Amino acid sequence: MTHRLYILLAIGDETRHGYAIMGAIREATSGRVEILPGTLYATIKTLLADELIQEVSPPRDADSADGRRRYYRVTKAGRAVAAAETEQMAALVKWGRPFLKGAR
Amino acid sequence: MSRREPWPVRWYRRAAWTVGDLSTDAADTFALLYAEQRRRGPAAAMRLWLRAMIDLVRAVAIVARSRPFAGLRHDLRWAWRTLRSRPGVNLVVIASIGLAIGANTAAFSVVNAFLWRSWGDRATDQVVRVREDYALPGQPPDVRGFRMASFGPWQRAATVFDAIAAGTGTSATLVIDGHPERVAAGAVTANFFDVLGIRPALGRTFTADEDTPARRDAVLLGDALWRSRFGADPSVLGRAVQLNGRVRTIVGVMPRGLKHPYQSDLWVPLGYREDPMNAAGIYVPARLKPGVTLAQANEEMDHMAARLREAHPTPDTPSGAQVTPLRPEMLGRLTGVLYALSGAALLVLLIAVANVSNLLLAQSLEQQNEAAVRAALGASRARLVRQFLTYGVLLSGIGGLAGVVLTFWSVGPLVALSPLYGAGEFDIEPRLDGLTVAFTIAMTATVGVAFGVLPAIGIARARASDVLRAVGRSGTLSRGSRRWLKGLVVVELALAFVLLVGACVTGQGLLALRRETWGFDRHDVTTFDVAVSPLRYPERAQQEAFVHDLLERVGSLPGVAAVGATSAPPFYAGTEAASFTVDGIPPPPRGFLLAHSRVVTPHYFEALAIPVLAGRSFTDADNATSVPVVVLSQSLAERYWPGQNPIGRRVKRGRIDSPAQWLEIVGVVGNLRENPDDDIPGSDAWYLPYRQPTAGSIAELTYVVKTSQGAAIVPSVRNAVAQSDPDVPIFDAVTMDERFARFTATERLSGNLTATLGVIGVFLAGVGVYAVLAFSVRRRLPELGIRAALGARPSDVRRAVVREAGLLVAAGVGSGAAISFLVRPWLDANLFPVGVSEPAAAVLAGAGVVLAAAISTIVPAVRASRVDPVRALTGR
Repeated sequence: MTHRLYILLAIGDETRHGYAIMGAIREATSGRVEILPGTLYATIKTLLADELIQEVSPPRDADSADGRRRYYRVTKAGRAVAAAETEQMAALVKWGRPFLKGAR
Repeated sequence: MSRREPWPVRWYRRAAWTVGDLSTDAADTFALLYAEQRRRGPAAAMRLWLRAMIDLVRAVAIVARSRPFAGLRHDLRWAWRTLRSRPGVNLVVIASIGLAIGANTAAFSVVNAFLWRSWGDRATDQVVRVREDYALPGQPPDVRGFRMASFGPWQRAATVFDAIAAGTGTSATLVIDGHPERVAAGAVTANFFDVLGIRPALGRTFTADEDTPARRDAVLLGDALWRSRFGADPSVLGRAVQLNGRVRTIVGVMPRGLKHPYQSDLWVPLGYREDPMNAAGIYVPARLKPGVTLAQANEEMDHMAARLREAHPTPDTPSGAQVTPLRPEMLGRLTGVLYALSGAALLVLLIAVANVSNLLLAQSLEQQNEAAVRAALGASRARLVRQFLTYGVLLSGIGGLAGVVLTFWSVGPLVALSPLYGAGEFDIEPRLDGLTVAFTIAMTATVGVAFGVLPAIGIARARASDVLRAVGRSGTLSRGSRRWLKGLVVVELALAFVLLVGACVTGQGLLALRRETWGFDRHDVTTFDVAVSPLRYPERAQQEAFVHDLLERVGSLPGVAAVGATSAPPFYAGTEAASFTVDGIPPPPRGFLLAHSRVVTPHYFEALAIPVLAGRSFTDADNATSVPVVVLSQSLAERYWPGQNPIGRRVKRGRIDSPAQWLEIVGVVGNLRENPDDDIPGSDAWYLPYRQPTAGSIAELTYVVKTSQGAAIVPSVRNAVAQSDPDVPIFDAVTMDERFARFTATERLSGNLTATLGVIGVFLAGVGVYAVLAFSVRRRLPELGIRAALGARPSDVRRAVVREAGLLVAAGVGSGAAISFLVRPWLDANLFPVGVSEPAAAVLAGAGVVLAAAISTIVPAVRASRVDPVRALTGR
């Protein structure tokens, strides 16, 4: 799974800043996957350039420390890409299921 | 952030900004993570820090991989926009780069052509020259050229060489279609060109069969002769020409530029015959076997000499041999001059880089402040550097192209104009070959990068807050950046000063050479060479009669004050020496003394205004029936008869036991400055009268004509020769000044080039001064406006600008003088050894730099003094 997909999924339907994205990934993968700030922001940059996410103004409920941060939201194109990649993975999982059974 | 961040966070922040071009969010996020881990303990925090730093490298890769040219289009657009926004400044920038890159490409191509490029298709470094050493055991080396007699034994015995060749030079009369022409002919062994590694451009070289005393019927043409006399006709092979009355067949044409040895126009087989009595000198090049070093070759040759000496224990057998690389020998002093020139060209490049960086920095900040604002807003240093880099490479690319065009338009003819002896016998034409192109591209790229990096450093020196404050005012920059600007100009001025010192030193050296009297009066003297064929004039008496007749005819031409002839005129490229013994003085261990030796006619000393200091000059009465006589140079007379009158004493050719006749000394003449020769002390020379057989060959003489008509006398001279004998060619008819010019070709070449580089350097430094002052005036416009409003006179304002320029110049000249002082020994060794006064050069150079700076100050100073207070204060 690519870092791009992790970030797209971590933002999901929400509006999130970088630190929150990291937290979401850690939580969803039970700490197995950790993306450090360098990789995170470099990947965000490419996602922004490809217009898969966009920068948005902070939500109203953000506290003052969070207010300095940049917030991101997944675009329509980003959703489509995330959906396509997830579907591909689902197909992959289906294909690979016999191995899981055999392994048991 | 009131509390100072811990150092790992600060480091991360800096790294993320510098290399990653990442927003500050990355660092802020890291700070949070770090704080979390810190609570778990220092080890956990340290582990995170290390991983995060490594992660930054991955971040760089992610950004670069996804859109490698993302910023490039933007950067190029920015560069192009900046380029077009101020065409004037950018034209200066491109001209500066063009001049600097042109100068360096030129220097490189010349150095490459002279020092590095192979002469042919085999490695040139393996080619050596072999000489014999006649020193007795325990004595210092007594190295001399080969004698014909010893070439055969050496050739058979030498084991360290792939091949050992021999050659000698002579002149010959070439007759093509009935038209005679005097040519320099190289007589060489069949393997001569193999040893040099040079293949013919057309046809073949000599076969071993052709290189025998019996045959000698083949000839190889030089490129120039082939072009001038045969119209570069490829079908010349197999054609017959007449050389010195002998019919020879053209077997090949040698490549362009080759004139080795002895400035040959064509080559004939040497037809070597072993003759133990033949003491004539011969030039011996050889090619070392692969893997054999010079030291090994020298050692092996000495062993061999010892064996030869055992076999023939006579004083004529050499005790050793000396093997030296041929190329440095051919270049002589030129090697040092070339390196000095490359150094000078490099200084010009440094000046140009400093200059253009300054212009770019000033221009970009002053004009749009875009970079400064972006820097303040957190654009990474990497981003800014890339932008400047694109701009710099674009500019240096355009400038580089201009430079290359400039180079090949100028340097080829410049070198071609310098008839350099030795080095000039090989193809030394600078060319735009692969190596030169690679050098120029590398240099252009480096320069472009420097343009990018230097202004970026300048910006980085400014703290963001400073920049913003500065931008708030009318487009200026922080004190740090200003210092950087000025520092670069001081460097430029210093380097320009060093360059000018070099140029002045060479210039002074050239002047000293011109002013030197050389022991005779070279003005109003026209010279020409005439050679009579020994086939046509076999008897010496016939040759004497011809010379006498010609002297009479030329002497009676209108406007001719005096005419004489000699076997070796002043500024003669080679050496013509004789061994001799002095009556009553015990000979040195080697058995004889050496001096330059010249055959001369009566009136020769008169035509060149060489003073007769004692006794008499020669007359027509000094002939075969009278007592054999000799005239000595002053230095020779003083060396052997210090404080005594040598007139009436006797000397003779060769050793004390030689069968030569004793010669009576009848006169002493002033010294000429002779070609330096290790074997011959100072300007020791002896002169022999042409009508006495003791004098040696008179088949080829150089005539010297004292006349105010200069080269205009040549047609009448040609007529006179034709009246004496229409089949005898006259050649090399030039004034003595022209011979002097050829003689000093190396000095003139280096003089011209250093002067050019010096002027370029000073011009560039002047531009630099202008840029800084203009910028500074613009920066101070509000201040100047206030002053003007308060009643300051224009002259006060002007004085302020001039003071600023004065400080820059003083710093520049001061540091330049310090640098010059440091490199002085090196300059002395490589440029001019004669008559140069360095303080004078330094004063001249200082004057040059001050003048350039003064000119550059005029416009900014005047502009400053015309400040309109209202406009300046309202920021328009």
